[in-house]
Amino acid sequence: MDKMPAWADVVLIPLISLLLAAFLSALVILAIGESPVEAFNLMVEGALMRSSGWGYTLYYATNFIFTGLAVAVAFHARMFNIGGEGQAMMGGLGVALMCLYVPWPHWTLAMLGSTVGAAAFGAMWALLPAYLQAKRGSHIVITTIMFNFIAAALLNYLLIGVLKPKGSMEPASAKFDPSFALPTFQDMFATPDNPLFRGAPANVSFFLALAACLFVWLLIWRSRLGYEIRAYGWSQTGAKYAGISGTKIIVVSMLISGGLAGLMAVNTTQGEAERLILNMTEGAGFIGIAVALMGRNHPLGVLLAAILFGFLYQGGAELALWTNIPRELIVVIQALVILFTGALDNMVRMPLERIFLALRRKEG
Amino acid sequence: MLQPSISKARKSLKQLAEEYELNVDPDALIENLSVGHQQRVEILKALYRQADILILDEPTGVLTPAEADHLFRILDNLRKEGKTIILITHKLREIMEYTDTVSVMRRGEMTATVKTSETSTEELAEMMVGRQVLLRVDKAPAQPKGTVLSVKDLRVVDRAGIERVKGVSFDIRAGEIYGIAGVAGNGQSELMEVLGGMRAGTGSITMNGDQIDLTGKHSDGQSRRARGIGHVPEDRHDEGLILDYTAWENTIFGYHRDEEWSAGPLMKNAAIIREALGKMERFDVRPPIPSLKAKNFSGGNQQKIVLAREIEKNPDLLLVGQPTRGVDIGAIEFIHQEIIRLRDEGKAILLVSVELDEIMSLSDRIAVMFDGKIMGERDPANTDERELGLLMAGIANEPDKPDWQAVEENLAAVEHGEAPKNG
Repeated sequence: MDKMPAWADVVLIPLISLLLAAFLSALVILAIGESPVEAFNLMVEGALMRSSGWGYTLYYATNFIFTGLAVAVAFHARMFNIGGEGQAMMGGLGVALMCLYVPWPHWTLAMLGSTVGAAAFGAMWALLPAYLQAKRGSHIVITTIMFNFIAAALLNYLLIGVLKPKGSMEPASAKFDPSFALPTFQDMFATPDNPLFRGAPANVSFFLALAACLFVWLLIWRSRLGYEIRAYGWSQTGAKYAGISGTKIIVVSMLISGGLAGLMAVNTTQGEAERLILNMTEGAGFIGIAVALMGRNHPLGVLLAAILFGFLYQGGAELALWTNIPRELIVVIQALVILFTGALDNMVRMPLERIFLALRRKEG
Repeated sequence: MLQPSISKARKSLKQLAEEYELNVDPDALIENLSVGHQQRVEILKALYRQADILILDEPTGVLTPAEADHLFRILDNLRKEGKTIILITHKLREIMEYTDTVSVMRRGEMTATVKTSETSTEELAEMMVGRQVLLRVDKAPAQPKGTVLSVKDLRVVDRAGIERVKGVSFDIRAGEIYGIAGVAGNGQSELMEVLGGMRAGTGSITMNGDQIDLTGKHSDGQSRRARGIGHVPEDRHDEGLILDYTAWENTIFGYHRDEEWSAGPLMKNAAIIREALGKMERFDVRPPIPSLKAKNFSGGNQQKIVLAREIEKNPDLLLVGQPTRGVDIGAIEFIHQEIIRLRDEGKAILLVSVELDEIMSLSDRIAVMFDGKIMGERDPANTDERELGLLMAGIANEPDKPDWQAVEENLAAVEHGEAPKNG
């Protein structure tokens, strides 16, 4: 039998890990002479109590959903795709090319185009590492992280030369056509009497992210391809026995993973910046790893974890704005959350398993 | 400085080896010894340290019958010396022939302790599973029909460049069980893997008269299944099942691309679960809960899940590797009956097992593999364990020295990549 019920694995462990991380963060805040209670109130106030705070939280969460799903899909085939950052940058390039050079008649079509562009470019950036892993055995972790640097360098090159408009001093592409701007939550939900989400960058691509969650769930747990991906992930010899081609699984799951990572560019590049800028990923590629880890590689878990990290991002910005707590401290808090939910998973899991076993023995 | 004590140790080791007929040279390198020989070194080690209790866990698993006999003669001498020997084994015959007292373990508990002379294999089997077990396999004589599988000059070279299968040829007809005996690691696994589409080879294999691919993309497991080859692999944990998959996911593993279970790119999970429940009931898988993960079933029930999947697909040829390894004696009975039932339906069955008893009781023809070659084919009615045991070490003629010595010389020679000394 399993050692503990599924709900404990899915809910209890992340919750306890989170509380532990929060406790340690409180100690750190105390140590620099600020009040943790006040800091927490400020984070909640800034990120969750106002609709504009939610607008930021969900904007960040959108990025994290895409990159988290990307890591999760690759992980089901037991591959650790830490190239989300680079794949997202290339996705940005795809979005920029679609928005700069195609005269779309309407933003919906522009969004469709940039979605295809982002996914295609992100997938393309994952193709070579996948091929090298499948055919030559080059480890995917090494190749994808190297591809992050190549993508950054390529973006640099393009933004100070080819894509930079004449006369501009800034390393960024030209502004997209204003008619391609994606409707923000403010555009969609605010009424004159009730100005919701004022100035917040959350936009329609949040719903694209929700659709991506549904897509990944269908893919992994309902489709034949997902069945093969998971089978390959659990046992490579088993997959061989069943006649499942390892090469195909590696390449296809990495293409899907890269495509998902690329999609976050729709949110940042078309939805927010409306041009291609250097730091378009905002580090979301790496946060995706933590999000997938905490979300147990399940779309629903990824969604919740992404919102949590969005809250930390937005709450952190508020802290830096209103207190003497430096923004870097937020990185510490995020690191603690990652440490406890990911790396120290067993520290919480093992005692908990023992408790559940003891409880069961008492019943039996 | 160490010289005196080393020579002293060598002397007492030699003395011990002679005293107990262990036949161990203290200066031989372990890597140059056969498995049976290595085992005797272990025993010598224990004796040198003046152990009074010797615990042996499945000591005959990798030995030929002659080596096993020799081992038990040594153990008999030790018993006469007043040593205590604890023998852990799943082979009831060993228990009955060599032990004085026997305890039965079931689900982590000692269920019974009796004098061996006052019990029988039937009674022991009953104590092991808690009900009466049929130990003999009842089967009618085979009625073989046309040739289903024909293998000619099959060769397999592994990744390290070592030839594992060295030109094997045989035919299997519909309605017969072709058993391949042999000590583990003599090329049987590689042979099965080529037939099952898990490994490339050279040579020629025809299935129902059609040549099948041995390399390339039409030589995978899917192509084999499409040709009517079912496969119960030797290793159910790593190959036959995905342990972290539920039972229902496992009941279509390998056949998951069939039209029957597909709705576009999606799978018909509800239909598969229904099918799984039916299979589990027909094959008496306990507990019959399709949503339970495969790793939560016992070995016997896991094997029944694999068998249900492969047998109910009604293949023309069923490859069966070690069908009862790690399976309780009650499930063994059931598994053997199912294999024979499939044979009686006119299907061809290739059985590979290291259990000589299993091969002898199930097979209609027996081939013995040694060092990548088939040493010979025997009719189970006209052969015995000794003859097959010698063949398992590559000895086809009457040896001119004690069996175990001839066997050991051959095994050691092969280990060194030389030709076997005794033919």
